[in-house]
Order: sequence, then C-alpha cells, then structure tokens
Amino acid sequence: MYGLSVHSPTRTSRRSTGRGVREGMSRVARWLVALGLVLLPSRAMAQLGNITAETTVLQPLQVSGIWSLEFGTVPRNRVTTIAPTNIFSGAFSVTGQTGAQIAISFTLPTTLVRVGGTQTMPINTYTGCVAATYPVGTNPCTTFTPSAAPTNATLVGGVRWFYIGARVDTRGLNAAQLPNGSYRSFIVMTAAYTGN
Amino acid sequence: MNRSIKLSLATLALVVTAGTAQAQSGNVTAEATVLSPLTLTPIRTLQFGNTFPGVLKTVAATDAANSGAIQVIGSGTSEVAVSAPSMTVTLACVGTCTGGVATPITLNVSASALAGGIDATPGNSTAFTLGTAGANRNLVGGNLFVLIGGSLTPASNQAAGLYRGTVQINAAYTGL
Repeated sequence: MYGLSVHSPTRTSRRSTGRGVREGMSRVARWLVALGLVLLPSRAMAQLGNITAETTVLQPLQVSGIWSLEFGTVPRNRVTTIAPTNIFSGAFSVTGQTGAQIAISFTLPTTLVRVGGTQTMPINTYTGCVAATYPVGTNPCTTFTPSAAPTNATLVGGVRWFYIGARVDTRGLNAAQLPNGSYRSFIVMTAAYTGN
Repeated sequence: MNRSIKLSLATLALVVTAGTAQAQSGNVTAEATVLSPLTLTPIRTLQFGNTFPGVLKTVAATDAANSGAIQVIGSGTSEVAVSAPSMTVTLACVGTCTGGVATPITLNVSASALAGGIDATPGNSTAFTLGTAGANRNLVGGNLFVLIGGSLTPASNQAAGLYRGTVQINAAYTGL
C-alpha cells in the first residue's frame, strides 16, 4: 500500500521566517498594500481657536431689616393696627444697581408667639408702602399689598425702603390664653432682580 | 516507465518551466496635493453685557450682535470637523470685583456654524448645533464661521465687576 506524505507548513512556521509570507504575497497584493498606505487617510491634527466670553455683573442686592414692626402694649379684646406710614411700622432697605427693577415678596406670620411660652396672638391684614427715603413720612410712600404676588419696584438711586404695617387681634382671648408678656415673630422679605 | 510516459513528463516539465517567467519591474507614481492648513481666527467676543446677580442671561449663537464668532479658513469645500472640548466655560473676575463674593461664573456654551458667510444670509448658510462630539460641515469658499452663544446666571451674591473666560473651538479636516 502506498501513501503520500504531504507537508503543509503552518502559519507559524511561515511567520517565523517572515519570508514565507512575503514570498507568498502576490505582486498585486504588495501593490495594494503600497497603495493603501497612500490612500488611507488619517484625520488631520485639530487646529484650535479661542474667543473671549465676558460679562459685567452688576451690584448684588442687599436686603436689610432696619426697624421692627412695633405694636407696643396692646390691650386684650382689642384690634391694634399699625399703618405702614406709621413711624412704628417695620422697615426694610434694599440696595442694588441704580435703576434696576426688583421683585419683592414676603413671608408673613399669622401669629406672634409669646417669648418663653407657646401662647399666640393673631396678626393679619398686612399693608405696605415703598419710598425713596427713611424714615417713612419724609417722602411719598407708594402702597402695595405684601401678601400679594411679588411686587416690582425700581431702585431709583440704588435704594428703596419698604415699610410694613399690620394689625394684631386680641379679641376673644382671655388671660390664660394670652398671658402678659412679649410676643414675637419674624417677617421675611425677599428681593431679586427681574433682569429689567 | 515506458518511453511514451517519459516523453509526456518531459513535455510537462518544459511547460512548467516556461510558466515561470522572468521577473519584470514596473513603477507607479504616488502623489498627493496637500491642502492649505486650517486656521481659526477669532472674529467677535461673546458679549453678555450687563448681568444681574441671580438672573439668567442667554445669548443665542445666532445673535448677530452679541454672539462670539470664529472664522475657520481652509481649502475650497473640504469637510471640516468642528468641536468644542468643553461646553462649560468658567468666567473669572478681572481686576476688582466688589460688593459680594467673586466666585467664578459658569457659562454653558451653545454653538452653531455658518458656512460661507457670517451674516447667515439664507442660501449660503447651514446652521447646526455644535456639541462636544463635534459636527462635520463643508467649507464654502474656504470659510466656515462658528458662532458661539451661551447662558449664565451669576450667583445672587455675586460681586460686581467684569468677568471673563475663554471658549475653545477645535477644527480639523476629515479627509473628505
């Protein structure tokens, strides 16, 4: 019985010399490789460009509580009211960019709480006015409603004064419900530029 | 092996031998035309003007008066990949900033590009949104104008003063 011995060189053996591949590669293939080196594009290196971005930030707002809303001594079973134009009204100042428009809003308490206790005194019916000067009464004061949606005002001269009045109501509260003492809460005013 | 077989093998050997031709050589020319390199030239500053603390301000990339602009100059109608390394830029106080806190302001960049003319004349412009991934556009007449807009909101306690930053744009030929 006769047989044939066939030798098939492995890729490894050809690579080991490097010669086999080169020899096995047709001339056409070599041209294609050469051509490929020419045609295959590589992305060009990026060029850089810069521009400047800038802005001028205007003066930030500063809100200050200047004076407390003072009801003084109030009797029981009585309504006591302080108008915003009263010298005892609460006062805030807002300073910022001259001529800019601002929006102001308030967080208004509904009760005053006895200092050192838990008893409360109702406070409501807030009123307000805005003026160019302090104290109130030295110039016209334009009324607004503090509980309403944000109120816009213009910072003429870079400052505005906001005055707050309200009323406390002690009707129907006996001595146990409303013992003698100081009652207090905080009115918070927020101001922001409108961008106008 | 009889004579006829020997003759056939000899003939075959001759044929095979004849098929192994003498190596020939030939030449081809490899050539390339190198296009003019891209240049990027700043044309216009992205100008937000006055901004209020706590208030958002936006300048559209198509805002002809206030958007920033970079002119990309290259070859003919070649395709160019335009990108921005970052779509967020920090503006820092220049000189003295007063009345608050001079923290850097973050600018969120928007961009588009106009081929052919910075005036966005209909017919010669192709606006597109540019992101960090970039976008490919063909030059028109060797030009591409990248317009830069953005938005920023200074902090409500931002110190007053001038703030400035740099928006970077990259451009490269795609090979097309």
